[in-house]
Amino acid sequence: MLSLILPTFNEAENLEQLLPRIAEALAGAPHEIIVVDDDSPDRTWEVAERLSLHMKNIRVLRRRGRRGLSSAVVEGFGIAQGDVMVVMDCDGQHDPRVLPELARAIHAGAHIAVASRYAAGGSTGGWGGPRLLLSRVATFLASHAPQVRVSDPMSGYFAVRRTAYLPIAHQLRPQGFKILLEILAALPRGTRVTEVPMTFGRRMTGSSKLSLRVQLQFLRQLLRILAARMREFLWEVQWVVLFLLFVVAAVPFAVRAWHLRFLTIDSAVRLRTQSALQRVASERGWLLSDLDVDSVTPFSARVIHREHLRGKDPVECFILRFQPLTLIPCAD
Amino acid sequence: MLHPPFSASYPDSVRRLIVVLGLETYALLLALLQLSSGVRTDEAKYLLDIPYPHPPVARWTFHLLDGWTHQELFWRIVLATLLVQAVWIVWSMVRMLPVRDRRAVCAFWLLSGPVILQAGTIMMAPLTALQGLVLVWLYLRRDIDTARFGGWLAVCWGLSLFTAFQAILFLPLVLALYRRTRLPLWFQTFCVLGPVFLLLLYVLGHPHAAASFLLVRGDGAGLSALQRAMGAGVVLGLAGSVWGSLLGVAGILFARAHRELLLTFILLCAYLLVSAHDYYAVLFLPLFVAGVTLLLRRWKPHPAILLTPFLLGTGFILWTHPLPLSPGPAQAVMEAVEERKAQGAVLIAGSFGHEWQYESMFPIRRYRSSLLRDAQAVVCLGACPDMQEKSDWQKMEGMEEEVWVRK
Repeated sequence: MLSLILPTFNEAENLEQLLPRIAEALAGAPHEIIVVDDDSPDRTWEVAERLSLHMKNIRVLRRRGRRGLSSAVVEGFGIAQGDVMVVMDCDGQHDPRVLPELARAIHAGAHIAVASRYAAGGSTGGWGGPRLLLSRVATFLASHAPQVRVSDPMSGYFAVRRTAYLPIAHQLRPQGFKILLEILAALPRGTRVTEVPMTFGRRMTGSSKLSLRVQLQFLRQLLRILAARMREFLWEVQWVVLFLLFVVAAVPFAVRAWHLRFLTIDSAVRLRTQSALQRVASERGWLLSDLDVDSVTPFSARVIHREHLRGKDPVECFILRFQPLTLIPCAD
Repeated sequence: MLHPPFSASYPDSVRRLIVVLGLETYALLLALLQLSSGVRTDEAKYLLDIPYPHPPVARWTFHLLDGWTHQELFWRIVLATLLVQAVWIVWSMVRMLPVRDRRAVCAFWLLSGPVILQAGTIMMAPLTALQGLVLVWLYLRRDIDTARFGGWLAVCWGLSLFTAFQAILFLPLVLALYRRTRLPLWFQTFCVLGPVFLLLLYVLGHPHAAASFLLVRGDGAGLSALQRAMGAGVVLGLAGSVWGSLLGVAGILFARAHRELLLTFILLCAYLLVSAHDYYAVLFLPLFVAGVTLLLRRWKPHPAILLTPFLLGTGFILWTHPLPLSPGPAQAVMEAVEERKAQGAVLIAGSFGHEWQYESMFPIRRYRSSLLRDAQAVVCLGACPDMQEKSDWQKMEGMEEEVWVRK
């Protein structure tokens, strides 16, 4: 059975026109229609309840004290009984004739089917330049965020298999308008996706709910999804990074420790080196903290004198011979 | 996870922002206080990346900006911010307590002697304390699945060891965190001991590091056991402003199920017996915060009983350990030498700290009369009997220290 979730807010006029078209598109297919209304001031929920007296497969959920398209959809999914769950808008911009194609895609094996404005054969309808540009930019940003990629992740018209939805339902944070983006971000890699071309229609009546606040909500949602993906990536690479860091650090440390092994294993060489360094430093007025020993043999040491100044530190290299005590610049 | 303790009249994000800004103002004030006392010798070592006494991670990071005039100010603000804003970690750590007690523990962190006296210092002890706080937080938050980020934990453990050697004292907590992960034993061993092995290799390849161990051991060379114990006691009292120290220790001692906290505390105390510097007080603060948290799970005192003696203790500590509000002579002397626009090294007689290197744009050498030919100035922190006889040298007027320059 197909469960069609219709989230509504002030869509009373549109609903009256839309429901018969939906019934026609789904004629013959077992389905239920769940109208989830956010307690609309124009009493959309009342219109839906009146229509349900004639159309027995309509159920109405009136939400009081809760707002938001995404959360309305999630609540609708929560009471849906169908094994295929579809979401569409009530403003006439989503063509009900696409419903059977979405249902067919799910029955053919897809986990999620998206009605896409940007798939081959799809269209944004009569959008003007600025709106089209805004949509393209948002779509570009959103398409790279989730693991499951589609050409129109901002679409509000999609179908999802119940068995694919239930395992991820608890992860969803349904805020704002873009519930499909949230679902795509939660679905695992390898999820089967089908895209169905859609021509985006004109709104029948009423006004758009795409405000600045909604756009900011979308940006926050996008950032949150990207942050979650970054976290997943960091968790996956941590062991590789740890091993690489260990090797990258261990090799030069070990090489250097080898070059200075006489300082560790031979106390006579250690004392000789210490004494020679102190004498040389004393003669030249050098600070011992400015001297570093690069390598040591029983007869000599390679010494680096680094002046610790603010900015560039002048560096000199010397070979310090113990007997007789001489300091000569390094050949290289 | 981190929710500020405001009334419900503001949206959450606005409340959080107000708290963050308030904390940042506090951090800035503390940083500016430290700025007024100038760069100290230990701080100069880190700002110039002088390779002792600690490993390179933090000092190399600090020195990246050493060509910038505001290097000192920048790092003071960053470090003060880290120590003050770390109260969010404390807030998260005490989430199981009532809001009233949570606020008290956060106040304990923010108004403790170590935070007031050390926030904004460019030292390793506050950094190690922050790393310790993160470990304590993970340790007490059993709901956090450390197995998910066991690799990153090992990387952070390695970074903390390579920031300062004293991070090794928090080993019991690291061991406890890995035991909890139930990763294979050989893997846990690699994560815990791998960084320690690297540190050992580093020490074998860097004689300065080994020398700094000897310096630490030599710190208390002439002291009796009683003097060492008293020195350690003073630092412990500083750490929690006395009352917080008592409560913290009580909490650690009575928390049988948290013996790793006790082990870490014992290791830190043992370290204090070898070298009891005041700046090590901050290392105990995360443990005392944990101890107070564990105590408050069983004991529900009035906030006045918690905070009043603590604040009195902090006041006493600030009175007995006032911050110097003026810098040492190095800055003034080196500015005066620079103004002469001469070239050549600056010779210093007597014992001096690295802050002289930091404040100087010119090479610094120990005074030797044979080096006078190439020098532009001589600073006599010790005796310079020869200088009176040098006819081509004159003493600078108006200097706190004895400074000679060429005529």
